[in-house]
Amino acid sequence: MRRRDVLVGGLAWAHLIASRSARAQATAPVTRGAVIVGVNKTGHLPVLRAAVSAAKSVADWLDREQFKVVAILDDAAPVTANAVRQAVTDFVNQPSLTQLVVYFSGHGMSVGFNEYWLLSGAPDDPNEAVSLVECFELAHMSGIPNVVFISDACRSTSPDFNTSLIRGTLIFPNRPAAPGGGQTDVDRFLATGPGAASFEARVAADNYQAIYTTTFLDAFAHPNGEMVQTIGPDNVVPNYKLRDFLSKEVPRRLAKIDVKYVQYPDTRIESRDNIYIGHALNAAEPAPAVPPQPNATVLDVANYHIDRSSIGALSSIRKFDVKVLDQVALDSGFESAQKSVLKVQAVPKSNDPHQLNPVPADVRTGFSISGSKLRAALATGGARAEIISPGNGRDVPAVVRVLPPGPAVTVGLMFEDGSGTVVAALPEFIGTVTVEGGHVASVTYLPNVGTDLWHEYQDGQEQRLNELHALVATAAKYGVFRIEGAKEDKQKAGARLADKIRVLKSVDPTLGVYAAYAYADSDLIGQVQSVRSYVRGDLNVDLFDLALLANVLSGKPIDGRGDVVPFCPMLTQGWQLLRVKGVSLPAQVERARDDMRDALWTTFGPRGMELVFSAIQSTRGRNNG
Amino acid sequence: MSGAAVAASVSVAEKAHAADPFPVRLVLVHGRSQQGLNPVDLQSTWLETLRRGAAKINRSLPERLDVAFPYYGDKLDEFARKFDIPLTTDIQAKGSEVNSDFLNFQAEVADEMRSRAGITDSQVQEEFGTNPTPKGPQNWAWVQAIIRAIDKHAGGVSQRVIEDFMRDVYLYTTQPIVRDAIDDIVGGAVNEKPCVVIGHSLGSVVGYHVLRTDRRALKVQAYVTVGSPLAIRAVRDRFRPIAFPAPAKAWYNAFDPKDVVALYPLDAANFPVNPAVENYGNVRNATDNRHGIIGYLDDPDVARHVLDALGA
Repeated sequence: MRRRDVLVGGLAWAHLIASRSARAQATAPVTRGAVIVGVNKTGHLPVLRAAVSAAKSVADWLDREQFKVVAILDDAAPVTANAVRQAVTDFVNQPSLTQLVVYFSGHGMSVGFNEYWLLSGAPDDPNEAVSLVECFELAHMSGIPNVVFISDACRSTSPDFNTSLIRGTLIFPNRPAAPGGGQTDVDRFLATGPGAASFEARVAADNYQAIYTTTFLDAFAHPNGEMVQTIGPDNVVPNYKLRDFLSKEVPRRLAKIDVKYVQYPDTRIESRDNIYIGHALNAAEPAPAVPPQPNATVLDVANYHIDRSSIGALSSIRKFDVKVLDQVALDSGFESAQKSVLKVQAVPKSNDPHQLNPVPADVRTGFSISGSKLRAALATGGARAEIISPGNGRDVPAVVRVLPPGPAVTVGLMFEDGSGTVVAALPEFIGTVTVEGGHVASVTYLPNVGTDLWHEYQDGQEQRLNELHALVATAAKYGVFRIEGAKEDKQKAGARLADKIRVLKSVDPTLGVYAAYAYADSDLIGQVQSVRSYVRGDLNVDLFDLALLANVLSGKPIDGRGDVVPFCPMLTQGWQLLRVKGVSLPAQVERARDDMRDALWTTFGPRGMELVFSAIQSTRGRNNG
Repeated sequence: MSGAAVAASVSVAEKAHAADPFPVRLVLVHGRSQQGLNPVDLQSTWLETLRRGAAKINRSLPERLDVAFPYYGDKLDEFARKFDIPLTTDIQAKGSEVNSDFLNFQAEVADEMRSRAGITDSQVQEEFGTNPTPKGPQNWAWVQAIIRAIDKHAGGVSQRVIEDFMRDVYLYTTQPIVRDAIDDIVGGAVNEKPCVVIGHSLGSVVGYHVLRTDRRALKVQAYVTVGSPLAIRAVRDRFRPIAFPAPAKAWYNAFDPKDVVALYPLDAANFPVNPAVENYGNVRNATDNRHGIIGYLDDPDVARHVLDALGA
């Protein structure tokens, strides 16, 4: 790369920085590009000191690595979503591009399992943000062999301002991947873990540094021997070699500045081991005699327990003393969340009326709700949702019967405070809904008495599946139910997971939904389609989330009357994919989105729930009131 | 590989191998709509046309020439029937279901052709007629109107030919089974001895893919493309990231500026590769639709490039 454009507030100031070889650049096709964004000041949020300087450092480095760099910085004028989108689109339109790096340094936040980079005009202008998860999805369709996101921004939720209306901008063009075209591997370097902060800190009297970016650049300036790989004539640091370095170095460096703060990077690599951004700039340093002990994170806890479950490892396992992991599980709330899901699951033991069972034997299709009293329940179409018991919000669950017991329909459940959720009522299944603090933490579908699946559960599967439900739901809640590693490893892990979520010839619907999200996140679309196919075969309907992830909902009318249930995503993370997958919901349900809570399973506040009930009511016709 | 393909490409090659008197092999990669034709006759037509072009510059083809004509016309036709992708005319005539991905592909290709050919929205609207126009995304009737407008106002390529062309390019670029089968036929005609490859129309797309993906140490003195649709974005983007085919020493691309299939040159704006493709846009193709192979190979500049590459 020979030319660096600096965009300030969307204006090209290419003349500010001399081109190294502009003449060559004019004719040679662009093969590697980078869009570098640095925003120190976002709306009324605290002004950062090192976001722009960090961005400039990255731009300089990539410039030397022969990238064509477009830097968009706010040191002279505000950074706009339009400028970022234009820069990315220009690169995507380059047919010779083999790698695109998109770097951001500034404020970021998480809302409902989506994440946003906040640009100058945010949060007042809800469009002046970049919707990151959606961009990951679109990047997969860009046709560029390797797209790298580097995000030095927070991923925490922000209670300080109204985030419910923020949708953010898509900076990648909405262009379906050409069938038969090449695949895009998307590598994600995120400065911190889900829900956590990324820091800049003072390292000298008047010198602030973005810790993550500084460490990232040092991986190339001062790599250790384990990180350097020779590819052709070059000594490079492949993308996949950065993960361990960052996970050790970032928390160590931050702790040296102030031990009160922690920051654990989150790295997701899809590219093969010969893909790299930069060269090793100095001779590799010997690995330290005593390597720094990495800190255990919730991801390590989840990976450890998944590895020990019947599923087996879905990612590479970092070794820790089990006591350390137990402490992390305790401190983070992982353990208590897991136990709370486990506690409320109970497969009906028999149809013996004397047996203590919260769900009467004559309820063939329905729900048991723990953690909140139930105020109302409503089913779509001609189905009825009867509240058998409203529960007491503590030890007595609410029970809902759905009649007739088939086919599958959409059901709205309104809790005592007017909030609620939308779920699928599946024939011959009891859905166990767990509510915690006004948020739906888990929905588990268990087969009803006398069904083939029920017999299978009674035959030794119950414990295994209950534990898996609880573990997977908890890992998903913390955003760490993932399949990671090299492509072949992911394929193998995905196939193993597919095997373990099957019961008889069916797929456990609960695990199927969780697994489909993990597959989609790892770009294992074939596995998503397989799960959807199994579940559809069993239930004769599509579960919304599975159909969404299998890319079959685009342009399809969703109105609560068709063969897709429920009429919106059951998991909150599904909502962030609606736009990029071209899916439209009923108008009232779309509006209800503005009153969604930050829960694992879709949870609406009272205003949203009123809209949802109104949408359900509209499917029932006049006489069904 | 069809029997005809074997006969056409291998028998000549074997003869060459036995005596090995030919320094450079000439590989001719035909385009679409060659089904049911005799590859030996086709090869003769190509060579005869090339001789005419050579004669215009007072040169001639070498007397003994190692020629391969990898024939995939019947195989492509077999796939086209097997996949049974409905053209927009079929949708209207037979009520076939719309293949949305193919429709999108057609819409993109047709619009690029329209734009480059200078056909206005008004001319397309005229073909669309007074039908109510849904204010929504692309629809087949509009795509068909674009193609009819191209048919009427540009180049003389009929609507049916444009649609068949799009379908065949679509099949080749999106269906691995089609691409693999055709690549096997064409790749089988190239070996590690020096060669010159000429690709026409869809054949230029096939030739490009073969030269980009073949892992043998091929020695292509020149890749010559004529009437190539490779710079149409919807076609080009199937091969992202594009790059110069490593085995080729040079790439020469000739087109008639009124050939609607090859309206876009393979230049830095439309097909940026390094080194750049040498484009020649002064062909006056004498065939009715300005796209036929016999209107390309008799061009003096095209013939000169082929002869130079052959060392003749």
